Amino acid sequence: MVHLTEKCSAKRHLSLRRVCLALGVGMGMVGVSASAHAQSAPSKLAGIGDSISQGYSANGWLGEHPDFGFVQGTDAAVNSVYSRFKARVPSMAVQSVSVSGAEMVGGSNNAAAQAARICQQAQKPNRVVLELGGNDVCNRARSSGADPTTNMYSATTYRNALKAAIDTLAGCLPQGAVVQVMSMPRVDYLYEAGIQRRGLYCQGVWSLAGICRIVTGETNAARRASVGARINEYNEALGAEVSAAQARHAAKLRILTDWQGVAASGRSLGTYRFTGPDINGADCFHPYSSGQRKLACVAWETGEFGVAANVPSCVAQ
Amino acid sequence: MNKTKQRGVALGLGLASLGMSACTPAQIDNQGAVDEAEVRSLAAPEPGASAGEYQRRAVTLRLFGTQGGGSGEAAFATIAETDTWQTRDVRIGQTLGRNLVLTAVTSEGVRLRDGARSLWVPVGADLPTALIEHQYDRAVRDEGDHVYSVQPALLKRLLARYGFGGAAEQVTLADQPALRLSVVAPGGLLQRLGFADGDLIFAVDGEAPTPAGLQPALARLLQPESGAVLVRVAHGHSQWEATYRTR
Repeated sequence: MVHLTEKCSAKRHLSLRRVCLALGVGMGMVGVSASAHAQSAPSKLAGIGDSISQGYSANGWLGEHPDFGFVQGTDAAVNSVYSRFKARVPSMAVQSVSVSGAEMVGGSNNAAAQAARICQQAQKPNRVVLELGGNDVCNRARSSGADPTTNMYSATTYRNALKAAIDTLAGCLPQGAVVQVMSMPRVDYLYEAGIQRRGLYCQGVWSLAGICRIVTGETNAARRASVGARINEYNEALGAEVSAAQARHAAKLRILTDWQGVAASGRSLGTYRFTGPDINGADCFHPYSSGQRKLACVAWETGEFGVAANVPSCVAQ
Repeated sequence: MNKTKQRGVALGLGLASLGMSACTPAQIDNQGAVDEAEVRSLAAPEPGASAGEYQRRAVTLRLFGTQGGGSGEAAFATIAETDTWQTRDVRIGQTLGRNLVLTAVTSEGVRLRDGARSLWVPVGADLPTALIEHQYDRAVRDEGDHVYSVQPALLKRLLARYGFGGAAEQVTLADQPALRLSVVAPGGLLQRLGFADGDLIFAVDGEAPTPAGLQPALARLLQPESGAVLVRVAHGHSQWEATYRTR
């Protein structure tokens, strides 16, 4: 049933929407109603996110460069979600609340806190893209014990943090708004990607700046894979919460995600295996503008106007 | 339901249509001063502090989840305050405010003790309660978006009592000079300002500090007339400018 719902969410054409509505009526018995597909015309976009959304180092210079962010950016090299909306709706506005260092769960800039800031905006957006999670992993201390995931949040914690954010948005967004929740990249691939990108330089930067030591400080591949397995659990929890939230807020919001399960390799951010060329050679962590372009493409193609089947071509660019 | 609670509910219903938030029963019952008897029952009192230095603050806590359930050192709970959604990871024996102490963690929930009261909080549930805080606990307030409001007079007292609490070394990252915080002591000024071991400080009000110059640079926050101090800091892979405003 959940699989059918996701398929419906990805469909754009009227004839297909009728099919989805028909399926939705059937699924109402399990808590997913047809009204989930009612949505308003896009007028304003907001982003909930972290340094990736802030375009950190995306032009090769350390620091935030929001023009290169995959949601709010305006640089042609990125072709952001905002730029793509603007091409369809010239009056489209954007007001992002993303914060470098933010987590889905922890701290004072987490998903729910950023959602609350969106609720404080004078003109509420009717499109929101949420991308978080990397810091939930990278801000946790590396464990020297038998279990490398000891210091990581549980999948339940991760899901409840997302739930708080979606429920907060549901309390203030206009009727028919669309919220898109992006899965989190497998940051455990960072170690191999960094070694491939700049070898000893990246190892030096990671050590000096304490960058994602839970994976960059871990030379044992099996232990890094355990961290990756927890990230898969986060993304599964994210997918489950999106389905549950869609049922809770069906009368008001449409909630989408790119996540299609662990088995759908390369068809979401969470299953894309990034490599050396995808990361920035200066800080050995953040995506360069070409990586931001891939993110924007995946977000767009898994959003209301995209075609999910195009995602593999996004990441192959 | 007592009369105070009924009043809170009635206010809530009336104001909801105006888009305003009403006082919850917890706020009516729990805001304000603390007496000496309550101070004696605190789990983590400030040594030598009188009742007048404490304040009770009404909050609703939500247990996002738990990790490493059991009584071991690995177990911790992630708890958010629902008015700001700011979270804290709390381990067994640690406190929320000075009064609530975490006594047990399981995969289903946590147990908290508040004086003689024992409270069970299931994962995902809300707990309307009150935190008793010493004025030091609110000397630096994290307002979110890397903005902090600080009270200079309290920072001076904190500095005198707990010290600067840190040491730094000069490093260079991608051709940028920076200070790497090699030590951030619990309770010291640096920790209260939100810094952690390993953080990199690139600039204070636009100037790159030396290890010996870091404390004098941050000491501007002790002056009420300083207005705002800007600190460019990196934590892990992210770098931002933190703003400290006096209040």
